[in-house]
Amino acid sequence: MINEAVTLKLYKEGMVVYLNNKLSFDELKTQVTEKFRKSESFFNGLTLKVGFKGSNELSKEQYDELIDAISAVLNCKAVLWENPHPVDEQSDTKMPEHLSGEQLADKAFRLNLEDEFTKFYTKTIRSGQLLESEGNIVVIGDVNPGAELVAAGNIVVMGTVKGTVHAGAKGNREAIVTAFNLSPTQLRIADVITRSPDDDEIHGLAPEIAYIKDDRIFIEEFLQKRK
Amino acid sequence: MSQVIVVTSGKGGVGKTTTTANLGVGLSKLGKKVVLIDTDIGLRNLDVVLGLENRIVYDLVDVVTGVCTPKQAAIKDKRFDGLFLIPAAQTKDKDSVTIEQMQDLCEKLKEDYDFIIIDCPAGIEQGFKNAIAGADKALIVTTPEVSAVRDADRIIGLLEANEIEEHYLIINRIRPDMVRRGDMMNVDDIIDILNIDLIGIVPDDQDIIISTNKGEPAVVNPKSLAGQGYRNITERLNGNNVPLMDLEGNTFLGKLKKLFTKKQ
Repeated sequence: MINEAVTLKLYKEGMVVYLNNKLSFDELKTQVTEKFRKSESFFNGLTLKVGFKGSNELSKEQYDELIDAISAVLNCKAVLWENPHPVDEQSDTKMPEHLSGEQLADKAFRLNLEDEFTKFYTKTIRSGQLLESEGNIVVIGDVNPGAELVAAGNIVVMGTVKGTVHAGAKGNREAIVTAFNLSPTQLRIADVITRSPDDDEIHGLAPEIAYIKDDRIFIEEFLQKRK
Repeated sequence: MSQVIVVTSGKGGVGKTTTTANLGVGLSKLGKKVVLIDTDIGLRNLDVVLGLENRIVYDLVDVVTGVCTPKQAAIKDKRFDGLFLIPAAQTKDKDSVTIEQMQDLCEKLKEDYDFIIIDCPAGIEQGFKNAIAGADKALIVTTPEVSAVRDADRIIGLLEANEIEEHYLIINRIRPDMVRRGDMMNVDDIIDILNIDLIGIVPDDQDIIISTNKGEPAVVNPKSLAGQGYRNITERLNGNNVPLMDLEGNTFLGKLKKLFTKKQ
């Protein structure tokens, strides 16, 4: 069924590792470690549920050994997921989705958006300053023209955005940008770019939110009007 | 307690040197002992603005390399007691001075002077880094132009990164008539963007050009509007809280307008 020694599949609940039953345990262990090494930096500090499928039944000790090996490589806490995903047992007969380490990291990133760490800045971000975050960015102050914010997650500015902001910089299209006054030089979410209209349109004073819908960036007020 | 103040802007031509000269003269007239340092090595101007060009023997590079003492290099002003100038070298470049040398110099000068005012070159390279190295506070000069404000913003960021937290804004060359018509950024617009404290505004004034060319700073001219602006800033630097200059002036229309705006 599976030609590769080890295949990974990611679910909301965690990761399922498909093992090739023709291989010895030692070989499997090497393959599993190798596979996880590719997405190594990403899982830092997270807790990852890992389940195993496909191979002949291994002993509890052997499962634990694999889990320990994964934990060591990833620098994260892996826990054994028993009876992984019985729900779509049916579809498992198909070839599991084949993902590169990078794609996996990206997918997992989306799942863990809520848990991702956030950087806080309590000053005005000025021209020439670049803030980067692997997670979210929150600025309590303004983002002046010439300044740049780049976050793999969301960007929230408690003030006016006039500089360039890039949310979901690693390809996360679910990311959002919100600010009290959103008039950026350029606004990017994942791979979609937009800019403020050329005419000096006066924005309302209401806070706004930017998000992707149908491959385009939409900007709208995010507070419901009071009735 | 003596203060080391750097006058900077990022953008060129906004009036750093003129401001330095006028503040130096203004403070010395208040009875303070002031030394001005021109750090724009290779493009020195401050000596010309002060009319002291022909008295230069030693310069800043001579001082920091130990060729002479700071006292020897400091040129005493011909008109104002208590005002001294350490000129920039004209034949060297900005790498001739290091950050440590500037810090040492500022520490030494603090013993002898009440105010040490450093005229910073335009740009954000070595010359800028040298100029801010020994400073306790910074005066950022900007004009009501988008590009000047943008550069000022960059400079404030760099000052904060270099732990000079005390910085004030001087808005130079503001034209009340254009502001009134809405053709020029007004004071509030600029402060809104830069988000720092204002220490003074200096209106655009033809007298500045005349006085600069003559080597006589406008601050001593009682009729000059710009001179009034600089006098106010010197008072504030000296710790006296004087009200901000009234840009509407004493024109009839100005008074009328104020009358109406107050009622609202």
